[in-house]
Amino acid sequence: MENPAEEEAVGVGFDGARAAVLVAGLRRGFASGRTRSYEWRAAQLKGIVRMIDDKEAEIMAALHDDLAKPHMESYLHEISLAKAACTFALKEMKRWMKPEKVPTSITTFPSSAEIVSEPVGVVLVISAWNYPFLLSIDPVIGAIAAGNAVALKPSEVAPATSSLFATILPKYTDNSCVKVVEGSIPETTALLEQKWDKIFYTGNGKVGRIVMTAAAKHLTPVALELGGKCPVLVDSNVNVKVATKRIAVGKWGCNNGQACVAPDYILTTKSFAPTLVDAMKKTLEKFYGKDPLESPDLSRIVNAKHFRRLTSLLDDEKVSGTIVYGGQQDEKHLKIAPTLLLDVPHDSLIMKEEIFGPLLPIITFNEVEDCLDFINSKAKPLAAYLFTKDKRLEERFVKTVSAGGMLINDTALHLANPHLPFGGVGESGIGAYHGKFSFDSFSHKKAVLSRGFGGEAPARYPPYTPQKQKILRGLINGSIIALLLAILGWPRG
Amino acid sequence: MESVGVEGVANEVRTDYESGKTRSLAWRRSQLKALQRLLYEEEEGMFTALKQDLGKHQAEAYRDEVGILIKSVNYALENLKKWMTPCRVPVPLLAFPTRGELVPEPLGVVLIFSSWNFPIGLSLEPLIGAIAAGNAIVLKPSELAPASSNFLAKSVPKYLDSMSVKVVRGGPDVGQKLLEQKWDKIFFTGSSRVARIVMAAAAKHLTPVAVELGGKSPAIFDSLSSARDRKVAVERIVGAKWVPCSGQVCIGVDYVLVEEQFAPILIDQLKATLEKFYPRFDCLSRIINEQHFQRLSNLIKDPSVAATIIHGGSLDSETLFIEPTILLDPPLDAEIMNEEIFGPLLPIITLKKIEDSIEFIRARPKPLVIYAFTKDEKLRSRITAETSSGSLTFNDTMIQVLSLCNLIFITPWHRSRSFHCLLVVRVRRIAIWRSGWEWVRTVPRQVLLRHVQSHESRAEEELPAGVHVPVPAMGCMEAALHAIRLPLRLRHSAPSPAGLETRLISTRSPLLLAAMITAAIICRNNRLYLPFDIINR
Repeated sequence: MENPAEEEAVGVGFDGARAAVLVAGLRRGFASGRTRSYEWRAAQLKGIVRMIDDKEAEIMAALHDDLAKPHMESYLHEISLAKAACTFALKEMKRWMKPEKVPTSITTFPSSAEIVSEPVGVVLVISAWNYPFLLSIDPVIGAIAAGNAVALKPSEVAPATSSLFATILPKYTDNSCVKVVEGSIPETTALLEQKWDKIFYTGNGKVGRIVMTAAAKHLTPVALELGGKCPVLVDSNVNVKVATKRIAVGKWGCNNGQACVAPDYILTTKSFAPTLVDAMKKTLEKFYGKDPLESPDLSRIVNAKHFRRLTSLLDDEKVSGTIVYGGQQDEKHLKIAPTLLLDVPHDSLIMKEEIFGPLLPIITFNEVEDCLDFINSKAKPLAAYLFTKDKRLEERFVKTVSAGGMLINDTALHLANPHLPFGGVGESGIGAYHGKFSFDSFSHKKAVLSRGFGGEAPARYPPYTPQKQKILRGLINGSIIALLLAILGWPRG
Repeated sequence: MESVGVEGVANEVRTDYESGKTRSLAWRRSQLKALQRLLYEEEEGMFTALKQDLGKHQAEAYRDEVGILIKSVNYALENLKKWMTPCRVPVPLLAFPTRGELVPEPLGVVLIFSSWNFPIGLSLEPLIGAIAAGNAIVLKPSELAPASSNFLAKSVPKYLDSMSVKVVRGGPDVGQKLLEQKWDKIFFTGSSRVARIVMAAAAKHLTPVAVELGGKSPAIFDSLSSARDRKVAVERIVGAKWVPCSGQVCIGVDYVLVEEQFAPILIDQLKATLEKFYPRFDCLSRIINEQHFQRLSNLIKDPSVAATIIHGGSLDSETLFIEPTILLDPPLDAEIMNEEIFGPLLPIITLKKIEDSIEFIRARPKPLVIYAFTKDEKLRSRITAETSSGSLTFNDTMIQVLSLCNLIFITPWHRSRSFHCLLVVRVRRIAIWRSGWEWVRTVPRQVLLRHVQSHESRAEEELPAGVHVPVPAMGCMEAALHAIRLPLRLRHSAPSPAGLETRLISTRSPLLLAAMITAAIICRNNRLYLPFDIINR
């Protein structure tokens, strides 16, 4: 970096003034126009791929530091997905960048029209702590693929990964246009005061509102990836062994429930509940052994604050009385065992807040129908899962339930599909990303219409006469006769 | 309306939405049909309202509002079913066996704020999108166009389902109360000041917002050598400055950039065209109200600005009328060059070289539209690549809204899921470019949407087969004749070599086909695509 002042900007004592310097630097980088070229974008993405390859061990170590995340999970959910996103973008980017021809209407005949994707400019990515690597690098990949200059603020709640980013990302990418800012609330506030062309936030609804309000000041578009209580509806006709395995891996195998797409609660019929609970217990024992707190395959709770939040959910006697499995806690190591709760009161805190941890309430109803009503009575979740063999129920579920994404007969897998947009609706977020959708999220779709000087229709212009109005009506309605008359330049004058 | 009323309206509409009836194809279709009827039957009412609010001439009202609405509603009716169909997406091996699908679903209850300059067009246009997507709607038209607002409040409930589509009249206080309610999407057209308020209020409920604002839209005027081109270009600029609503339009030309030595020629042409178009001024709209009239007259009051007036400049505060006015090189720091003009004043800024216009535009906030009149291919591609704007139109003005059905107007694109965004659903795309094959195919809309969303043209078997034909330089007539006979000759021809420019044809009518070929030649595209089903007929 040529400018020492900028160097200093990224680090301790980051305030509004330094944030302004940082943004000005990024703006200069973007204004130079180099981020727009295919070569620059490809070079950065290749840099990131190299970074992931070279630093795999360090990344895993950082994730283990922050969350005691098992290496297998780190690889499967973070590293491999990040790399796949990067290579997918590299493969498809040229096609994405190509202006898209669209047909023109007869009214504007003769003309040609296309949609040109252009970078929005300088973007800010604020990421979350539960998947600190993937949730940071994935939007950055999208922003770079779309040709933007980008500032990344990793979550301070996962400090090891955050500082890892600050050291390695600048080494592998163009550090005048890709910057990392470390910090917590004051730094984020300083960043949010600046004018950005897009803000991409992953986290919770409370901060999401703050981000959107700050963005409103500069009319900056935002993408908010939030969470929500993701329901799992289990019908009684399913293969219960497979279903419980898939639910368990989506809940506890995804960062011990600390994932935005993890199942939050299960809905099932009263008659089927005992079968389901039994199968679930067996599955959990098979996965995590007799003493889950000792299992190396279970992530820990991220910090003491969240640990307390989760244990306080169980404080209520009406809730803790419903525990049918698990419930063990180890405050020293911040571990909570997979816990099943059967029929918790609907008005308890655990059914109001996003759980974001290893507790899984099971709610029972007499009819499947009531389950659907229950889901619809709550805020729109990020994901909704259904296990069933009944095609009709599946159809109804897709039709009546509103959610960011939906997965039938499995959990969490849909986010690995780069052809599907990933994002929420209503309380679970605004905007979507992954694959082409990331590119679109960080692109402006510019409408370009081009005409020659032929095909002049005097009917467009004043002074208006009744004949002109007639032609115009024809033109707008796509009448060929009117078109011909207009081309011939009729009526004169 | 009182506060209880506003809250009541919001709750009523939500309860109605929750009943699920707006989701059905039948409901959407019946509402669009009703809207279509409204547009046909109440035409006179709309004309009168627009005349009262803005002094808008009937022809103008039809061209800019009613006509476009009819077009949109027909387009939506035609494509509704296709838009609603879920589309499959490919899934990665890891998830085998699964299938991926994109299912469009309505957002819920949508609030639409429209503005006063096209009080009916800008109210009903988003309404069409919202209905097509199956939402329940509350529409608040601008209080500054009271006659139109009354018209909408009276006729919309008469034709449409008054339980799920409601019109609320009122000023900023009502707007404020509406914003306090929870919505699933807010669609706002108006000024950036109010847009900030709307967005901040929306943040409280995490409501996605689409804002359609304005900005200083420049027109770049290259030194065109042919007198005919000059005439056409100037007519089109006048057509975007004074013709629609006397410049009170968000996509109007705000100022013109031109080379120093070319300026006198442009000015003469402008004056001549104004004289031709406006032998009398009854075809010009008036200024919306006292306040805006005052704002506009203040813009030219400053002596340093007033000195640069070279045409027009007379004001009539009685009738709120401002004569078409041209200014040559007003000071760049004057208010007229820093605020959106939104009225019949046209500054002309001269530059040493036309290429400097790119720098000039980039130094300012991104405009809604850039218009460029040029025949220089190099300048053209530089403008496309180096400037940023909502949209970009070459060699014409305003008409991008006419092809709105196919191009995205402005862009709330970041909500990629089509129906989640009201407008994106209208992006129709009929071409899939197979980079390996170098020919273009025409595909059904459903496949296309999928393609837009996944960019993966897997469903090859669903594409109609066809060939790609180079069109040699030939006369229009000859080409047209050729087009009709083409089938016989082409049936066995091999795919042609790659070409950059491609013209697509998706029509079945030979007459239109001929017209399209003519167009292809006029536009200097050298390739045509003909699906076999046309050829075989």
